Amino acid sequence: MGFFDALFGRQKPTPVGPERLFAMGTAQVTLEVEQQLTPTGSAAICFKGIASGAFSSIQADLEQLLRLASKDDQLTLRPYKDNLGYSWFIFTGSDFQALVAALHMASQTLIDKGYGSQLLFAIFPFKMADGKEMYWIYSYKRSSFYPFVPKKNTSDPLRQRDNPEELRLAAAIGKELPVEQEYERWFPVWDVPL
Amino acid sequence: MILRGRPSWYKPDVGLASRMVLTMFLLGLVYVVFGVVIGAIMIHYGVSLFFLIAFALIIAGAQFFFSDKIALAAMGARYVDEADAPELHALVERLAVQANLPKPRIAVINSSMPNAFATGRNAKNATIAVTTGIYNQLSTPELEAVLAHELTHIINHDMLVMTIASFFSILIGLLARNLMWMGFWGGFGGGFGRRRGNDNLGALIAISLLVSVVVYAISFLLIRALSRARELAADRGSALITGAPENLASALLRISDRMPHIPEQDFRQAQAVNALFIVPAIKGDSFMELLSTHPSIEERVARLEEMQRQMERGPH
Repeated sequence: MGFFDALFGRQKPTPVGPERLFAMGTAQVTLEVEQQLTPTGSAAICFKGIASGAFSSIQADLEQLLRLASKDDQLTLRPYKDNLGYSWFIFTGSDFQALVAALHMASQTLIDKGYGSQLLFAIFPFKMADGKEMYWIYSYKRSSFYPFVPKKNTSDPLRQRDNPEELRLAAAIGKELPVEQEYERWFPVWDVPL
Repeated sequence: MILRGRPSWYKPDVGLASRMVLTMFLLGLVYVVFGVVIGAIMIHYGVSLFFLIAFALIIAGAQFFFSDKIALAAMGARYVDEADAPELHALVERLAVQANLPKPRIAVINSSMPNAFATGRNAKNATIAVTTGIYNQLSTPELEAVLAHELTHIINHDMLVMTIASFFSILIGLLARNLMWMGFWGGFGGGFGRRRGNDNLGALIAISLLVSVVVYAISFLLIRALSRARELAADRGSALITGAPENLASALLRISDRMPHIPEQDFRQAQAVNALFIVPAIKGDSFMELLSTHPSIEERVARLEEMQRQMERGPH
């Protein structure tokens, strides 16, 4: 925000960048080979609520686009509204690259319809070698990824994170994935509906 | 494929080692030049350095032998045995075995400020002290990493090194003060005995005083630099002992109150704050760093992450 913006109380919406989502497509191979992280077959984007009329029309558009784009891939789309008032589009499919492309398409659709500033994050669940789940979260406003490793799972009432493991993963994949450099922006996401 | 030689992350950190050597060299150089110049002047004018050196030696010796007891007493530490703190003892014992050290004594300080230090003049007479704060705030792997860092200080004889480095600094400080007094009594140019050249003596004492002060200031900064380098070496040692640099990195982030923490608040709840792009905490106040005995958390975490990457790549 510029000086005059601050002075006059103007707020510019922060630019939203979904392009770097595709970096996860390439990094996934490294994550699987070097860190034994396997994709779970689902991924999602999360955004602030939109009025229900507009929301259903967007959902319909997306489903049509999906049908067109992924005839062989069998991607499915499930909308979800969480108890904090945020909406999710949850995609499932066995082809990880198709999932990434679907997330990008959904984000771009929202941006094209003018809802870019409502986009919060994209989330990719992975299964770790020991069977626990971890998540790579993409922040649209920061155009960067960061890891989230809950100690038990995302519905843990104690809400504990495994910080050393997160730091380790971020350091390991840092060259292939644009990782968020500021730790205070590594926001966890609890009660993930994936 | 047989692994020959040490894994790559054991190879000496040439950058860090050179930095330490350079600092110690400069410190030594400063002392030598100073000693030669001042000593020549002093001897020429018959001023005796003997008592000064003896006094400084006594102070340094006392510091070396008693500072651990003084430090522990000053912090209010009390020794704990295995019955009082079985988990702590088990942790330290495992680390001591890993590091091939005799197990140090363990002391606990009742304070919510997270802190830990190692003291003692050699490995056989070492003590590790931890506050209840650090014990409660860190998870077990993080605490282990911190204890390994302290053990490395013991391995590296850091107390001995810093005492030697500061010995000369003490000596110069005493000398500077003595020269000042001599200057006052001598009146800076008059009345210091009836020897030939006594006029020059006052001026020379003034110059020596100035030189002493300057040398003391330089040695102060260099000693700080040496301390920072040895802290980084202790971080490295911790990573080598535990094999997990990320534990120490996480511990440092958690106990540092200046570095932003990895948050606990859900993304969706933090969204309002997120949108405003709150300016992060002060970064890189390099002037303060000159005076600091510890390197910045950012530098320490960055170096640990680099070790982490080396370990991930494999032994070669």
